[in-house]
Amino acid sequence: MTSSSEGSCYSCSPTSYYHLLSLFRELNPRIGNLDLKEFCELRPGLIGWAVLNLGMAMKQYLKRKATTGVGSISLSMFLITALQGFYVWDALYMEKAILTTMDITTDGFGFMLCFGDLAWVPFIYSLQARYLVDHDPNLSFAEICVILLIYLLGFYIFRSANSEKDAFRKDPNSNEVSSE
Amino acid sequence: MGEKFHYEFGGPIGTFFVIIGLPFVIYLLFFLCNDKVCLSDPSQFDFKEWYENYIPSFDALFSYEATIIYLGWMLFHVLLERILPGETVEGTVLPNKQRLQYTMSGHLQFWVCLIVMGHGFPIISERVEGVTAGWCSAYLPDDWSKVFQLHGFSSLPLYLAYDYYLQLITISIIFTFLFSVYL
Repeated sequence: MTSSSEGSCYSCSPTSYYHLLSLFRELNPRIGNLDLKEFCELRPGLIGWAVLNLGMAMKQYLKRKATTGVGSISLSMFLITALQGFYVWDALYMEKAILTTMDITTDGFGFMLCFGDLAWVPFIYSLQARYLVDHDPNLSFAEICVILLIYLLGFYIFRSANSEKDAFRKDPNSNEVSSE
Repeated sequence: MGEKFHYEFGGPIGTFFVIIGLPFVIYLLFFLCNDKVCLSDPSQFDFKEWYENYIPSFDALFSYEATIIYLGWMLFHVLLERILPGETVEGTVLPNKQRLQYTMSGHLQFWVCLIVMGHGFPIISERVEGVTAGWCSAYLPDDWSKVFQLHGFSSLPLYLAYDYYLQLITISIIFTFLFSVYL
């Protein structure tokens, strides 16, 4: 795809093929009105991660059923599926905020983002859930509580910071971000 | 372009290692910890023994089923993106002063997808003739003695994602590589 109309190409002077593959790319490639970058970033990739986690939970259930006769999932597995699922849900619920991120506004859609969205995110991020299928540490209630607290704190920092960034990029003088 | 051009990620050489290295990392994380072997203490880990025994043959990286699952998954999401409604918003102002339109249906798509994953698998069994056919029964065109009856829906066999994890990694890497060539 070699669109070099002003503004649609990130950097248009390729020097080698694989560099072209990953770095010289269109900013917002579209097929019709399907925005490939926004689509890949949020939908098959992120939801794929959540669904892979569910698959791992299902596998643990079946594995335990096969060995003990009773199907169950561990508290750790429940936690990872629920908390990571919540993160994914949040990203999609706050979809408008994605439009002002560097990924959408500045980075071209080449190998880095494409691979990151469709291979790296689902298969690296679901590592923990896959680990739990085979090697569950049987965490105590206290440990679970500590994890939950750290998660909630981290999530608060993440969400408040990102919403502030989004508000600033939309309108640098909005009430949300001005000191008045 | 008036500005001086600069490279990212260390120029062509850096980019080359990104393209080769990142898929390698995904495979490494799979092979270093799975149901057969798991690296917990690097000082106690016999890498030679691991390399000889736990790296499968090249053929094991591919499977027809995983390819179908991956492509089906992508197609399913493209379809949902096309049909689900959502508020249309404008993106930020681009370098060429234009703004693109985006349809915000991601949140809806998340829930629709989860519902389909949880309840989208039809439970069908064969029924011999004589059994009252429900509204959703269908006749086989080549064998009129059998009736297929739909009993309900169960969740999709998501555990296959575990069984085909390695093959899914492979097809996702191939897919993204070809996709980025297209891009």
